[in-house]
Amino acid sequence: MTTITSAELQEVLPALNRFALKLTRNADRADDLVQDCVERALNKAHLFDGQNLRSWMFTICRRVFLNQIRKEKSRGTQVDIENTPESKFSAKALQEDKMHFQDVVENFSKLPLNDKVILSLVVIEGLKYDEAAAVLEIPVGTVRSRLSRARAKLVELMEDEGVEEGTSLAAVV
Amino acid sequence: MTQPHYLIREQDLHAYIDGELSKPRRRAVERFLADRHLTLERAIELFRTNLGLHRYREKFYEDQELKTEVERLLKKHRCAGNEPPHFENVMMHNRG
Repeated sequence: MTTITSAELQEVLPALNRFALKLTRNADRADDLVQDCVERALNKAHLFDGQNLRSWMFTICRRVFLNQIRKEKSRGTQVDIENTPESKFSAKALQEDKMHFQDVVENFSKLPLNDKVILSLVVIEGLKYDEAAAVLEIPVGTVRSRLSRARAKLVELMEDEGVEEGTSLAAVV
Repeated sequence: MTQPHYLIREQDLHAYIDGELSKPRRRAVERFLADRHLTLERAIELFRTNLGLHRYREKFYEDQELKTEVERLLKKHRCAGNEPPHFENVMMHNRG
């Protein structure tokens, strides 16, 4: 059985903290997320393959965060930017979030219809790539490329500058 | 045991955000992200963009042309014997 030592955990924590902070954009939430990750990692240590603790912890962090988002959505308790107390979300983070989401709304409308449709089907409605391919009657690979182009275009519009795309990001790991 | 090598491209990052990767490829992307700060930032930006798209769903469908087309395609999806997509369920639940 694989064991995780305290020293190994300590080594991973700074990177995990940064990752959690970038996901949540709030120090308190990031602390809670890291705490949940560490608890889960220790409880599930027997599932760790002993190879790359950092990568495994990132996986846990991403899953815990996604679960939190899904629970918030299914309970209908999405973050209310206007009314959430500052003790939970800092004013600066709220303002940044609000501006970010306004940017999403504003720039989404500038996309061509085809881009809006693929983003709506997969990102908003939650169709799997193969399901979107079936209704659009196109190959899954086309969904994959069309979606990445559409979302990259949206992010590019929001950044108002060029973004790395395609082979420029390619690397072998 | 030697791990297989994967070529990670922009599309893999998007598929990772959408939860569409096989387990080995997902791990490869996570290894890739863990070692590259800038790409991690990009992944988070894409992820936050997804959250923005979820949050303002109704606003996007004020575009009648888009709404009509998406409804047509979702109807086609259901007529093929599929369950309504996950997020549609969530929205219906929230409305109830």
